[in-house]
Formats: sequence, structure tokens, C-alpha cells
Amino acid sequence: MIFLAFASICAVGAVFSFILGQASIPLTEVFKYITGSAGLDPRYSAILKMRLARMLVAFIAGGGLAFAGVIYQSTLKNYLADPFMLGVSAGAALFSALAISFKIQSSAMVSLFAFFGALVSVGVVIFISGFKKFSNYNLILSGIALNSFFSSFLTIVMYLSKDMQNIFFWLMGSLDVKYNEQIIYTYVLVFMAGLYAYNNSHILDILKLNEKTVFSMGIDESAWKIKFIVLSSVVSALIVSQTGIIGFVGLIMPHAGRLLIGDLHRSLIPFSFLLGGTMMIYCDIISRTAIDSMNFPIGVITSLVGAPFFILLLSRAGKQGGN
Amino acid sequence: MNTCEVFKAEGLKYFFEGGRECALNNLNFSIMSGESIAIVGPNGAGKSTLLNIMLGYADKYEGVFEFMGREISGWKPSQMARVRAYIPQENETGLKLTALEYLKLSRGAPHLTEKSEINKYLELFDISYLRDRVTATMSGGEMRLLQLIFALLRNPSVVLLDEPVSFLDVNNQKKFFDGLKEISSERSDGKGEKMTIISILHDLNMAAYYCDRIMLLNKGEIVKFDSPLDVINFKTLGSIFFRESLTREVKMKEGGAEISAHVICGGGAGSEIMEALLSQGVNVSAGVLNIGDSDWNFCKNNKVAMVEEEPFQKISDENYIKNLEYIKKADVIVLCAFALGKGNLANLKFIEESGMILGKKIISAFSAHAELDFTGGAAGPLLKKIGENSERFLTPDEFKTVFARVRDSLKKQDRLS
Repeated sequence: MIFLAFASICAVGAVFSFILGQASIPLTEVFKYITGSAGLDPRYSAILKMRLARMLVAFIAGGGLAFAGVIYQSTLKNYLADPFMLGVSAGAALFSALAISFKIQSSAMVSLFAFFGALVSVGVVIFISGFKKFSNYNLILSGIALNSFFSSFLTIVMYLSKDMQNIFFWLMGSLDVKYNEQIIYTYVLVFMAGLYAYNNSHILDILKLNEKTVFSMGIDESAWKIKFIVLSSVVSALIVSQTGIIGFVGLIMPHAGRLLIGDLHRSLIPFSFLLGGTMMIYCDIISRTAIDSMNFPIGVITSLVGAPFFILLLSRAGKQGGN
Repeated sequence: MNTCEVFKAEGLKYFFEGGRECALNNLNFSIMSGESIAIVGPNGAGKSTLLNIMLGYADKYEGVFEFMGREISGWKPSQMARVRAYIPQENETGLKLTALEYLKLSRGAPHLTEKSEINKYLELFDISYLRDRVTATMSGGEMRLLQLIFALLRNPSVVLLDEPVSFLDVNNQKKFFDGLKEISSERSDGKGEKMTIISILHDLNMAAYYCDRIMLLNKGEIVKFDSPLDVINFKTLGSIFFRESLTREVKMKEGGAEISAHVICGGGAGSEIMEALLSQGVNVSAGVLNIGDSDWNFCKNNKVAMVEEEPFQKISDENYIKNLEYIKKADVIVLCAFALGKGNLANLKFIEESGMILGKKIISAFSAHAELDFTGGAAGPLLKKIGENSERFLTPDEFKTVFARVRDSLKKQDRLS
């Protein structure tokens, strides 16, 4: 039920996303485009195609980050965890900043740098925490240490670089992703990761139980934990490398999902994905239309819109006695 | 029924990580299948460490430790998971799953557990109403029972419990253990093998009532590992639990009385009985009495030795053991008709055992007073057994004639020996 409700909210958002923008497009034309019927103005057709591509990026980015957030929070048993906790954003930011300041022009190359930067930093964090059986405590602390270490580096790079403006813009996150092959791979990989996590969702449920209970059930907590962390890190690295750092979605949307439908990962995973994607589509509309002739940085909007929405949810949940 | 050795320890030692501090020192014991074992001891005695080794969770021990005939470090966690289950000390907190969703995880994947099986257990423990409720909203007791069902759904032959009932009220403690026992014996009817149950317990009363043997640990060593009757006494427990050197033993009033009687009473039920005993020159003791109670007043006025407890308090471990010492010392045990609470369960078990094993004479008013049973029926079978092995009375007058008869038979025994 609640799935359907949010799916329709998402669909309405999609329609608005088609209509609104620097040039408004009439609803009838949008429907012609969606249903593929004849008589569509070719000028509109090009714009609508662009808007569709952007919408897909928004949906996958929002959904993917929310999905990664769910998995991080559940495996680390920490509700303050977000997809950037173990160094994805710091690594991506540092490496892309390096790429930009070394005058690498192609955005695809910058993305590639960011992607590997993200994976390298998560790899380092996992490696360090491996000395002590991958305890959550160690994972999180190594993540925090690495995050601050890398961001100091980033500051130095930005300070010395002549392209501070570009780096800064990248850091703020943007959905202006050029349509390319990379993005198709991103979609496929994110989808496959989601499917894998969905099929093993009961393990995520079990990992939330007492550590010794999990052991007594014969389930190798460390192995699964690393598997899931790598999986969600790849997903968020893929997204961050394309869109830059978009905060808040990965932290808050999992909570919104839990508040609305509970902790069972079999429903929580797809639902959070839907929730994150929907939120991102709406945020994108705002970022494109709030100020004329300017794309407001999406990362700012997500926090600006998401925080009040989340507080609303929290207060409602409070009234229902925390259910 | 074939019994086999479930756990065997030979020279088992365990050192805390890094340090040379010894958590367990040279343990030797064996536990057979179907046994119900309680591990007791003060904080820091090594109880949890031992349970962790039994679980296979702490594997850096020294010495021999076998699980079902094979060194436990050679077992894979997944193999062990098929035969033993575990309940941790902590409740599963912060889970926003319904009871059904939670229980469906018990075998690793939801499709492995039939809903009907879950329903069966929920009904057995009388908590079907919890099925669709979210676990985070449940009371500690409700969650504990769900954890027990979670463990039982795994069809274990060995169950390890870390302080399973420490935070439960007496009602739920009883529900927990009665259910566990029921399933275990149901199993022995069906498949031939009773479950081996090993639990860390803080409540000596519970340990004595539900377990076949008690392992008393202190400072990493086994002080005693024997039947409850042999473990629970001042000699073994006093210095360990109460810090005072309670090696002092309960002394009956001296003075040449040839017979001593311990009267278990309360609420005035014992006054007339004790009066009758005193008038016949019997050495009388009483317990456990709440301070201010009319029987307590009687003892105070007549200088009868007794075990006292603050009013409205649960009987403390110390007083409970003291009372037991009196029971062991007395020739005759008189069970008056007082309101029987759950704290008395272990006492009844001891009375029954002392009658059977130690050959004490029991005079009981209880077989006729089932309405005084406030234990939810748990005392029923024990009372019946005690009734079969005891002399019975209803009124104080009746008591006098019964006692005269018992006294004569005791004298006769004396002459014979």
C-alpha cells in the first residue's frame, strides 16, 4: 500500500520534472512523449529527452545512496552511518580534485579518478580494521580518521590549485551528467547490487541481532559484513563519481524508510530506494526552477528539503509511540 | 536412551587477552547429554568465559575441551549451529521487526521455518498475542520468551543460556523454564533424546529447583559440581557469596532435647504447632518468617531459633540457605498450612528430597490445602510427592497425635541403631 502511494508520488514528480524547467512544456506534449504518440513538437522532444536522462540520474543517485545508507547502517549497527562514513566521499573528492588540478579535461576521466579514489579509501579502512576482526568500532573509527586525513589533503590541494572553483563545484554535487556509456554501466551495476542485497536481505536482518547470537547460528558475521560494505561502497562510489557528493540522502532516507515500513530488509531495501529516488527527483525540480536561469547545487537542496521532511516524520512517529 | 558426553574438560585454562590473568584455571568436568546444569558463582568467577568456550566463541583456551567427543576448536561454527543454540545475556534491542518476522530468521533464512511451527511455540508459551507486534515495543520478559522460542526453533540438542531469567519477574521465570523443560521432555518422548541445558543463573532458588547439577565457580575454579542438595549450603556458598565467613553452621539449641523439628510456617499457621512442640520439650526452629508476622512474634517471645526476612521482601539467597541448613539439621520437618509463594518452590523440592534421601520425617498440612498454592500450580506435583511420603494433619489437635506417632517411631529407630 505504502509502496503504491510513494510510487505514485514518484510518478507525479516525474511528470512535473518533465513539465518544469527553464522552458515549461505543456502537459499534453509530455503525455504525447510518454505514450510515444505522434504529433510531438520536435523542439520539445529534444528537451524532454534531456530531462528524462537527468531524471534517471536523479532517481538512481537518490535511490542508490539511500540503499547504500540502509546497508551501512545495518551492517555497522549504527544509525548515524551514511554511505560516506568509511571514506567514499573523502577519497572521491581528493582524487577528483587531484585530477582537476592536473588539468584533466574529460569529465569521464575525472569520474574514473573519483571512483578509484573512493574504492581506495574504503579499501584502506577495511584493511586497517581487519587487524581486529572487522569490529564495527574499528571500522567506524578508521573511517573517521581516514575521512579527516583525506579532507586535510583535499584542503591543501584546493589551496594550491588554480581550479578551486571547479573543484568546489564538483564537491557540491550536480546532476548535470552528460549521457554516456559510463552512466549505463552505473545503472546496471547499481541494479545488480540492489538485486544481490535483496536476495540476501535476511542476512542483513540477522546481522542486526546480538553478535554472539549471530555466531551461534553459524553465520560468519565478518565475511558478510565486508561483503555488504564492499557492495554498498561500490554503489556509492559509482554514484559519487558521476554526480559529486550529494549529502543527507544516504543518512536520512533509510531512517524515513524504517519509520514508514519497519526494519525488515526485504521491504526496506526497495522502499528506501524508491524513497531516495523520489526525493531526489523533487529536489532536482527545485534546484532547476527555484532561481531563474540557474541550477542550484543539488546537495544544498537535499539538505534544505530533506531535513524538514524528516523532522515531520520523526514527530509523527513520536506521536505513535515510536512504532 | 543413549547418553553421551556433551562437554568434557581436562585441565581447561583460559587467559584474558594480552594479560597473564587467569580467567579459568584447570577445570576438569564432564556433562552428559540430557542433563540440566546451572553455573553459579559471584561476578568475575569465570561463568561467562566458560559459557563462551562452550559456545565455541572463545577458542584460545589451553587444555582439552571436547564437544560431543571432538575438540571444540575443530568444529566449524556452521556445524555447531546445527546441534546447539544459545541465548545471550542481553535482550535483542532496537529491532523493528514483528515477532513473526524475527522468529522466521531463526534458521538463517525465512523460508526454512513454517508459520505453523512458530504458532505452536507461541501458543505453548501463551504469547500468541505477540505474533504481529513489533519487538521493540515488548517488555523484557516477552522478548526473553521470544528469544527462547528463537533458540528452540533451531531444534537444538544442547542449549546454552547466559543469565536467561535475571531480569524477569517470577512469573516469567517460571514460564521460561517450565516451557523449556516441557519441550525437552517432549523431545525425549518423541525422538529419544532429552536436551542438554546449561545456564548461568544468579538465583540459587531457581538453580536448585530446575537443575540436576550445580557448578559453583569462584575465581576461575570449580568449588563444587554436584547435586543442588550438596552444593547449596553455608559451607560452600557462605564465604563466596556473602563475604562474611559464614562457615559458621546453624546450631540447634543445645540442652538435651532428643528431637529437633523445623517448622515452615507463616501468618500464624505455625504458632499453635510450635507451642505443642515446645511443650513436649522438642528443639524447635522456624523459617523463613517475615519480621512482624504473627508467627515471627511467637518465635521472638518464646526464643525459638528462626530465619528472619524483612517484610514484603523476596527471600534472600542467604536466608534461603540458612533455612535449608535448618531443614538438613532437623529430625522432623513440619510443613504448616501457609500461603505458598513461588519463592518456596525450591524449599519444597528440598523438603521432598530430604525426605527421600536423608530419611527425614515430614509432617505436612498441605495435601489438604491446595487452595493455598499461589505458585500457579507449579507446586502441585511436589506437594503430591511430599504428601505421599509424609504424615498428614489438618488441625493442631490432629498434629499432636501425628507427632506423637512420629516421635515414637524416631525413638524406635534410635534404639535400633
